[in-house]
Amino acid sequence: MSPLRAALRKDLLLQWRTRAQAVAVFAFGAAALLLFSFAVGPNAGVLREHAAGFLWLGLLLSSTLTLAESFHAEAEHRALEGLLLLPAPPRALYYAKALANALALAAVGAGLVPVMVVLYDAATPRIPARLGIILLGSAGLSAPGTLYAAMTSQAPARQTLLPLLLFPLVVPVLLAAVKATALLIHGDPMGQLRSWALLLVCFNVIHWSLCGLLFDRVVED
Amino acid sequence: MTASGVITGGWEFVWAAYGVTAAILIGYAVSVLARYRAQRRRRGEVRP
Amino acid sequence: MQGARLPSVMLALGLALLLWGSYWGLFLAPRETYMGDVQRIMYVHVPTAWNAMLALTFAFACAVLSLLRGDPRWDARLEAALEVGVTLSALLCLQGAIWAKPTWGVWWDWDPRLTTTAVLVFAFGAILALRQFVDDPVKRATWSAVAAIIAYADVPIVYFSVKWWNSLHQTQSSPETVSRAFHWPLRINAFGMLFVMSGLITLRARLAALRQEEELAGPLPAAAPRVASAAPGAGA
Repeated sequence: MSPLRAALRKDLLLQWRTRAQAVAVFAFGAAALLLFSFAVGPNAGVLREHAAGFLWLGLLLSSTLTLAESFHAEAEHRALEGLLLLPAPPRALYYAKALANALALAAVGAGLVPVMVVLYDAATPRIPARLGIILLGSAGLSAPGTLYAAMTSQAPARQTLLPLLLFPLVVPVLLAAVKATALLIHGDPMGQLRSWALLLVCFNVIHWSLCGLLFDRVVED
Repeated sequence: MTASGVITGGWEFVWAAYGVTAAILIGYAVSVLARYRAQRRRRGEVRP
Repeated sequence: MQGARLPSVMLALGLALLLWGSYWGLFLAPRETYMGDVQRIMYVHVPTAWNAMLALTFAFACAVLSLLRGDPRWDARLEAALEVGVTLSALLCLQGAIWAKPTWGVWWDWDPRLTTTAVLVFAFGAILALRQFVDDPVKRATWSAVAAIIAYADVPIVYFSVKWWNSLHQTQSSPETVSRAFHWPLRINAFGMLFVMSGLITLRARLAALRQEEELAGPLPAAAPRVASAAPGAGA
């Protein structure tokens, strides 16, 4: 079994075993969406107009929890050193962890969609497109997020540092994902959805390669 | 802005911009210089 | 890497140029047709923009070299370039707000370049924060270099995404073309700012190098004797 598949299996198993945490993260995201509506007021029109923004802000905030926890097992039992001793390239460890995180975030995102539909009256018939955007956005958050989670899991002030480092970097993901989701909700007369999706793809290509390349240096001793 | 689209006056903004620039540049330079001198003094104490 | 003399000379030269260029721009250059006297802000704003990006680009170069060579001097320069770059970028945002208020009536008009700069202040500022929390100097050097490379690679993506996001709602703001009458004060200030920036980075890098030295030397002994004859040049 290739190192990447083995590592991926390990991380997916970890995610499954800690699925109670995933439920908690989803609850946090749903609570965030609720709080946004309290902050804005019970104006259905305004809520619907900004529903995409609220969804992605909620997912972004939830991602800090998921990402910070993703290296918990490795940090707790010093398992990271053990993993690095294996004849598998650290890069494989990164890609496996980042993929598992992306899937976990996509699951939370998909779970938040019905919450958004109910709270903000923001449904769309284009379900596959919506899921695609959620997947692309989650992947975009996960690529740099996993790298910085690895870094900050070893540093003292990890809870503050991870969002501090991550949020400015993922501004393009936020912009593109919000725009794309808004187009799905409100209609896309000029066919701009593809361009925003392309931006997400470009961001993912750049960061998945760059962060994978640099991961060795982050975890080396 | 007047109806013709020309901005008149606004010198207070010009002074504000130049003032902020001077304040930050000079303030930062002084801060770096002070920290540098303090570090040199500490090193002077330790060196045999 | 000794002494504050070279950086001090650069700072003094830069300051002189800035005073000359600013005097020219404020009092001698003609008034712009549409923006009137407010346009004179450009004589500090544009040089700040150029030098902020230059500082952050230099930071990127230092990051790459720090990772490739492992030489702590590149890490010292990285720290300096980051701090100066963040300071200049923050200054740029302030200048931009002061310029926007009389021009557009709001303090912030989401101009793509300024908005990107604001994101950069946070992105590179976060790396400075990261450095505060990592004690191991080798890890600190490696991690800040990695973070600086990722942040710098992100700059064009951030710029294009903001530009696009903004273009759907507003017309572009800052004027692109600068007519010939305004060239000279702009150039003088650009060079002045360049000397100031280089002087600041040089001095700040030397400070970082001294701190690295202190870190490696270990803690001071309980009663460090005061040396009567300090080495020449130590009291800069």
